[in-house]
Amino acid sequence: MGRLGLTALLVSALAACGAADTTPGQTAAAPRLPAYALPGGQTTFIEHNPLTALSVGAFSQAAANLPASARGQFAVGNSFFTQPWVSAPASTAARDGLGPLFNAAACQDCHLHDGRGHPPTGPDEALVAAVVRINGPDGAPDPVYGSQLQTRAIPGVPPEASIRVHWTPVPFEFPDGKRLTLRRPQITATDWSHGAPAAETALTLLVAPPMIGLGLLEVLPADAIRAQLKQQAALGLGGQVNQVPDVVTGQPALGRFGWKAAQPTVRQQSLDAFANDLGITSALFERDACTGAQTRCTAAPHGGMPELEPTIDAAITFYARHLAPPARREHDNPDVRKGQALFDRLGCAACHRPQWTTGQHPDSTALSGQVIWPYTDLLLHDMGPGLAGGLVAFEAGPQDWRTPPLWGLGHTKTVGGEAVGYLHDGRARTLTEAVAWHGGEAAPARDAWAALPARERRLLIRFLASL
Amino acid sequence: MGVVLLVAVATTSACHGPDTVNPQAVLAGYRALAHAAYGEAHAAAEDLQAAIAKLDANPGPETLHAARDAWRAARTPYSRTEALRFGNWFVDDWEPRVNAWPIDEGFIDYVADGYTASPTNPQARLNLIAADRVTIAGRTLNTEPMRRIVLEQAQSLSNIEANVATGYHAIEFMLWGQDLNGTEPGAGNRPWTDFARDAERCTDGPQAAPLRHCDRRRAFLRELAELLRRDLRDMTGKWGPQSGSFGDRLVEGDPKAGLRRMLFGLATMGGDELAGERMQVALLANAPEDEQDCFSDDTHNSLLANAQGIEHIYYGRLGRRNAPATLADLARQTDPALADALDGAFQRTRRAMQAIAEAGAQGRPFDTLIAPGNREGAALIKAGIAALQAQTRLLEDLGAALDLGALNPSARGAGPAG
Repeated sequence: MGRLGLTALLVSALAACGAADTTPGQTAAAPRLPAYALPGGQTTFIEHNPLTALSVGAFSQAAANLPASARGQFAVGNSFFTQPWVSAPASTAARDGLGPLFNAAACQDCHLHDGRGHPPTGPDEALVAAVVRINGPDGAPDPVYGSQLQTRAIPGVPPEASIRVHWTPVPFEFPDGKRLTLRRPQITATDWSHGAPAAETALTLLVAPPMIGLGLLEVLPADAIRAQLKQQAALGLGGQVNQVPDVVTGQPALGRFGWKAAQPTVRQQSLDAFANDLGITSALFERDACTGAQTRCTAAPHGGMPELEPTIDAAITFYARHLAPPARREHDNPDVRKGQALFDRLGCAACHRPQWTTGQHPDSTALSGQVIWPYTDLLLHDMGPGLAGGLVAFEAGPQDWRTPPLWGLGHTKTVGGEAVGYLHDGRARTLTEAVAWHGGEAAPARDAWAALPARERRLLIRFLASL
Repeated sequence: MGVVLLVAVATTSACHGPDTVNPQAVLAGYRALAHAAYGEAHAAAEDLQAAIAKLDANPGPETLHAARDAWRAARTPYSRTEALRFGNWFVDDWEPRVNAWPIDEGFIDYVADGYTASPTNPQARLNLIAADRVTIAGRTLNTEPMRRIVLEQAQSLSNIEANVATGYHAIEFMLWGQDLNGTEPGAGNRPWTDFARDAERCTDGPQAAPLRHCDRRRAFLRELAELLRRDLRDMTGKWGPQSGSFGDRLVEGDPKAGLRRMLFGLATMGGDELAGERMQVALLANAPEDEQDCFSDDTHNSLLANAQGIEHIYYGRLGRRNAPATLADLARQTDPALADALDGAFQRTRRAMQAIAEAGAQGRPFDTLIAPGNREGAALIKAGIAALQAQTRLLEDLGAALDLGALNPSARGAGPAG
């Protein structure tokens, strides 16, 4: 208490000594933000550039309550997240192991500035910040190509296929007669390295989701997540959990991460991406993306076993856990408040659950016991045939998608650029389009929104953009 | 603790007692120091611009050599300012304009066979020097004449961090060229003829080249030197004495928030950026690509200057003078034992970083220290990292002793009430 009292005295002495325009009790402290404007609780990154258009780093900040002595580890993780990996053998032993098959050379290639990836704008643009998943009608991986198509490869190994994305217009009409033209991707794969797969094989385009707040979602209590099932059933909603294997424990676990909630932990999600997106083996995934049928792939040189060294595995996981959600903007704007009321009234909040309190994180006090505002229930919901691809992941069928968190939504394009879209494949170019695509269990809420006058529809969007 | 508290009460109530440290005066000292530090960096950038003008007017081995010396001389005062970067969002946002790295240098100019860049960077071999027009992300830019506005556009359109066309490291690449020595001694070795004004002599490194390439390289350097000078002038102004400047708002604002930002900046620069990103990563990866000043091989000096910058702010050193009130004074008044520990920590950091700089001066630059199997080099770097980490932990303790709560860059919200 001695230290605390002393500083309080110093501060009051300062005022008493007549600093120009301040009087006691009226120091120029900035106003404190209300809890709902701090989506990540005490981890929230607050002091960003007041000019929205310049906040490209809004998703790249460490949890604000992370001790300075832990930030070195964050910085190491950041470097390995950002810098490209190279193929083995190379002069840099720590950064080699890329491929043989890969989609990207760095995490950041898809998670642009730690935000979302984007789909190609048309058939002439290469797939750079998105991937294509492949599976049979039963959800099983393809026997030759595995579960993801790698469109790049090291010299001497053929890439699995070339991908082109054509956009098909999809009309949407509001009850007041206003029209919107949505778009749906049509994926064509050519130049198959081992011949075309069976005709009924499904291809699903996925963009990289944003990286913020993952460590907080990791410690939402599983009981509390499951407890929602009953509450939702009472509302006529069919939320379900995805039971997925935890590779570390060998036990089934609650899926939390990815568009299908197919991964239970930040580390497993990250190392799965290392294996499938970068072709880098790790302590959890000892094989890269070659299947037995791909002989030139399996015979290619590798960068040690596993390729991802334990120190870097730890740093990357630490980094991915501690990226902070940014503070909200305009949370007190009257239109934003009206939009927020609509969000509740229309039923959006039933699945996009605003508030949670995190449990205890075994490795991070910064993430423990935080009151957070992610706007997700972490459950799977049937979103209807409009959004369905063929992708199946454990208990998530083609129409089932995890409610994605909405925190940071308003920063999306500032961080990732104009080509970035919303929803799993980035098809929605605007938040309005994203809401319009909601079907299945979300159809009643979507319809109620669509039936509002245009001015009120915009208020909801205004609220979403303030997150 | 009780005794210290009583003494403090006695002195604070007197307002002008010799032991009283006014937090607002500490912030005023910080701001004056920032203004002076950016002023030095700006003056050195003017000297660099003058040296580049001489190279431009009269390309030759001497003028190239002089321009390289001017770059090294400009780098030290800039590196000292980096302790001001964190905690001050307007510096952190501005920083990539002047100091972005690592860079895929094929974005700018020719590169040797065996150049490795990200396989997913479509502009990794763009070669702005050779191209009169480039197409990036569907937009075509006319790059003749070489104009700084177009360079900035090219950089931002590509939306890839490694595509850097401005700042110290782009100038460094222009003056030195690629360092093809890996983790062996030796820096980049661009011949002066890459800047020749004579069609007979103009080269792209080992090969003859059209005069246009040399003309464009000189133009590129002119534009970059001007941009750097302007950027540093602007940043100096932001800390200036005029009312309403960022520096002014820091001093006039809540003193606790100001001290928190100040300490956050010192802790982040030392523990995160310097010990983590610039030293630990390079050591883990054993890769010269992870060396900050990789073309000039001058990293050992910039690392030392980074550490000096932190120390200068803590002790309030303004050139040869000292600020009237400093963080060190505040520490000593609040917790003399902690102040002693911090004095020791800064001394150990200084020794460790000087040892790295001396190795560089003796022909063992940073990229040789991080070579796989160089145990002695690794030990030098690890000693620097450990010293910086210890110093960072003590700076956090100081934040707690000053009741600033967790050190974070924010002046609002999640911190403790007050």
